[in-house]
Amino acid sequence: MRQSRTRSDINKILDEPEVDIKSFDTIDQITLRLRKVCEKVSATFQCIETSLFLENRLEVENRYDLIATTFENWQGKKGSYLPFKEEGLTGWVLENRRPVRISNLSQFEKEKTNLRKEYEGIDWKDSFKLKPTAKKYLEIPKGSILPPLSFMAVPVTNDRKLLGMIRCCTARKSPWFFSKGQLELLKLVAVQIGRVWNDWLQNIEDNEEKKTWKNFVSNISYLNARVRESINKGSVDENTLYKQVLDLAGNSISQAESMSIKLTSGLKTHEIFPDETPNSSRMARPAINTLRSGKNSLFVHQDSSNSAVLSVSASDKNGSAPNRPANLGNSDSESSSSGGELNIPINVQNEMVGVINIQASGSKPFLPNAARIAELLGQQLGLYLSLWHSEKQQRQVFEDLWHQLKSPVGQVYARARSLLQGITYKNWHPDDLEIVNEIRTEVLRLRSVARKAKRVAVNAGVFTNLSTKGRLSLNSKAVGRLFSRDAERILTEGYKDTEILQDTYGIHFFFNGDSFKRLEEIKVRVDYDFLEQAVNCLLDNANKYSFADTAVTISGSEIIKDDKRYFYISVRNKGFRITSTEIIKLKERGYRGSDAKMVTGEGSGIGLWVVDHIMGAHGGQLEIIPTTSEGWTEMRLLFPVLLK
Amino acid sequence: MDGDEAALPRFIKITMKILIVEDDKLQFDFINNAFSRIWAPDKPEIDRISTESDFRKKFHEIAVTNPDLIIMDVMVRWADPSPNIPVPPPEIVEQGFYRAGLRCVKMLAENEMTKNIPVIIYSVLDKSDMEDEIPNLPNVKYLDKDFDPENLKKAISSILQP
Repeated sequence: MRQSRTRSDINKILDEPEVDIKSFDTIDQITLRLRKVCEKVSATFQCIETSLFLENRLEVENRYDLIATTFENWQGKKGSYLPFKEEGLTGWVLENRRPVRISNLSQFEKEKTNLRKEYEGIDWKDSFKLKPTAKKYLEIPKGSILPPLSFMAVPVTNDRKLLGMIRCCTARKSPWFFSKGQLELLKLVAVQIGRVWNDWLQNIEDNEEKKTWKNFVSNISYLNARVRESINKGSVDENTLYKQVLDLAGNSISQAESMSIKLTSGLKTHEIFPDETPNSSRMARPAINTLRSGKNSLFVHQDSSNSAVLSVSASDKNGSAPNRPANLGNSDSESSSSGGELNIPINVQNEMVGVINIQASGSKPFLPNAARIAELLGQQLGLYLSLWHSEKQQRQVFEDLWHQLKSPVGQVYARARSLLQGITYKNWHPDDLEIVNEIRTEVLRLRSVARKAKRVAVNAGVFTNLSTKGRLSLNSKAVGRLFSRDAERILTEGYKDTEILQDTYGIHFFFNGDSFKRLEEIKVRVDYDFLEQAVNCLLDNANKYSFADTAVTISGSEIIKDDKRYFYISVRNKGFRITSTEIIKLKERGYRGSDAKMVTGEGSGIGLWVVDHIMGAHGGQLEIIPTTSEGWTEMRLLFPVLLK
Repeated sequence: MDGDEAALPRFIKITMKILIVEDDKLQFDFINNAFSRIWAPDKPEIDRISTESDFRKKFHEIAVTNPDLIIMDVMVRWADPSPNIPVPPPEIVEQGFYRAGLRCVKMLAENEMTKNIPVIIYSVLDKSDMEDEIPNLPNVKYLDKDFDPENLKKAISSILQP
C-alpha cells in the first residue's frame, strides 16, 4: 500500500508517462523539463526552494551546474554552479554521496553534536542572517526571527556514478519539517532524474558521435582525393598536408583547443590553433570547413622541442602499448578540471616519425570518440607520408637512373663519332700497329662505357618490373647452364671494363679462373643477362668503394648452406667496413652507407637491391660477409646446384 | 688580347690555364681531348680536381693561380675512398653530397679573388633542376653535358669573349 502511494507520488512529480528524451535536442529543452520537476517537488513538499545541480560532462567535468531551480530570480541563467569541494550541506552530499535531512536549520547550532554524529564531517557555516531580499521572499517581517527551515538533499546517481544532487528547503511559518518518508521519496525522484539526465547526455553524445563520424568520413574522403591528386602530380606540399590534417582534427574533435604535429626527422613543429573560443554552444555548432577555407586557423612552424614525442616515449617506457595514442590528460581524475591531451603516433612503415598532439580546452573533456578519431588521423597521415615518400623515392630513382644513363650514352655517341672521324680522315693503314692499338683502346673504352650504360638500363628495367609486378622473373630465352668458359668470359670482361673506368688511385683485380672449372662437373642454370648484371654490380661496387692500391679478388666455389648446395661467385675487396648489422640494410632499396655517400657523386642506391632480387629469382641468394679483421669484405652470388 | 698581353715580348707565350672539376676519369679524358682539339696546336694547361674536399683544400691555390676557366661537374664526390676520409663540415652532411659542384661554384662566387673566374657548369642534370642554386653572374654559365665538343667550344667562346 505504502509502495503504491509512493509510486503515485513520483508519477505525480515526474509527470509520467515517461519522458521521451530523444525529443530534447538542446540543453534548454531538458532544463525546462527538469525545472518543471523541481516545481512539482516544491509543490508536493511545500518548499520555498528546490534546486537541481547536475554535471554536464559534455561541457565541463566534475562541476555541478545549477540546471534548474524554483527560485524565481534565477530565470534560467547559466553560470551558477556548485564547485565539488564546496563547504556546507550541498557540498557534503556531493562529497559523501549520501542524502541528508535536517529538521530545523535554525536549531542547527544546538543540534550540531547529534547531527555531526549522524552526518560525519557535516558543517553549516551560514550565519542565518538572511538578506533583506530573502526575508522579503520568505515573507518574514523586518526584525522577525527566522522561521523554522527544514532542509533535505539527495545525490543524483546513475550506475553508481555521481551526476549531481537535488535539494529542497521548506520554511513554513508553523513548524513543518521534512519527514523521513519525504526524504525516501526525494531519493526515488533523484534516481529517476539520474536516469533521465544520463539518457539525455548519452543521446546527445550518440548524436554528436554520429555527426562527428559522418563529418569525419566526408572530410577524410575529400582529403584522400586531394592527397591522391597531389601525389599523382608529384606536387605534394608537406606543410599544406600537415595543415589539412590538423584542420580535419579540429573539425572532427570538437573539444580540440590546440593541435600540433611534431616530427622527429624534420625537427619542425607544425601547430594549429582554432580561433574559436570554447563556449557552451560548441556542442551544437555547425561544422566549419577549414579544409576549404583555412581561414579559421593559425598555422605555426617552429623548432621542435619534441616534447610530445618524448612524452609518448616516456609513456611507452612506463609500460603502455607502444605506437598507441597516449592520453596524457587527467580527465578521469575527479579532482581535476583539465581538459586533457592526446598524443597520437605517426608511423611510416612501422617507424614512428612524429606525433599529433591535441589538447582540449582548460575544462572541456574529450568525447569518447576523440582518441579513436585522432588515432585514425595519425594512421592516415602515416599512410599519406608513406605513399608520398614511396612515390618520391620512385621518382628519384628514375631521375637518378636517367642521369646515370645520360652520361655514358652521351659518351658512347661522342666517342664513336670521334673514332669514326679519326678512321675516316686519318691517313692510316690497317697494318699500322700503333693506330690499330689506338683504335683498340678506344673501342675498349667504348665497351666499358657501354657496359655501364647497360647496367643502368637493366637496373631501370628490373626496378620497373618490381615496382609494377612486385616480383622478378627470369627470361627463359636467356637461361642456360653455366659453364666455366662463360663464367670466365663474363667475369674477365666485367673486371677489365671496370678497370678502364677506375681512377688513378689503382685497384688491382685478380681473377682465379681455375676456381670455375668445377662448373664442368656440376649443373648450375643462370639467366645470362641477369648474371652479367649481378657481376657488374659487384665489380662496380668493389671499384667504387675499395681503398687505393688494394686488390679485388674474383673466384668461384661450392658451399652447403641450410642443407642446400650452391655454387657461388665471390668478389672480395678491401674498403669501407661492413658490419653484420648493416647487411640487411645494404639490400634495401635506396640505402647507401654514410661512407659510400661520400665517395660517389651519383647513383640510385638500388644496385644491391636489384642483385638480391636477381638472386632470389634464381632460387639463390646474395650473401654479404661482414668485413674481416684483415679488412676483407666479401659478396657472394649463390646459385643453387641442380641434381643431374 | 688585352693591352697588357699586347705589351709582352712576342717570344713569351701565354698559355691558358683551365681547371676541370670532374670525378669521372673517362669524362675528364674526353673533355681534356676536346680541349686539345679546340686550342690545337696550343694545348692549354689543364688541372684536374676530382673531389669536393680537394677543391676546398686547394681553394687558396685556385685563388692565387686564378685559372682562365673552370669546368665544373655538379655530381662530384666528397672524397676518394680511404680509411681516413676528411670529415665533411656539418652543413655539407646536412645538405648531402649530391650537388657538390654547385657548392664549389658558390664558394668561388662568394670570394673576392675568385668571383670573376669564368665557370662553366657542365652537367647531365637539367638546368631547371638547379636554377635556384646557380649564381646569377655573367661569368657563370650552364652547359648540358652532351659530350659534343662543338657545344663545349661555343660555350667557352661565349664565356671568354662575351
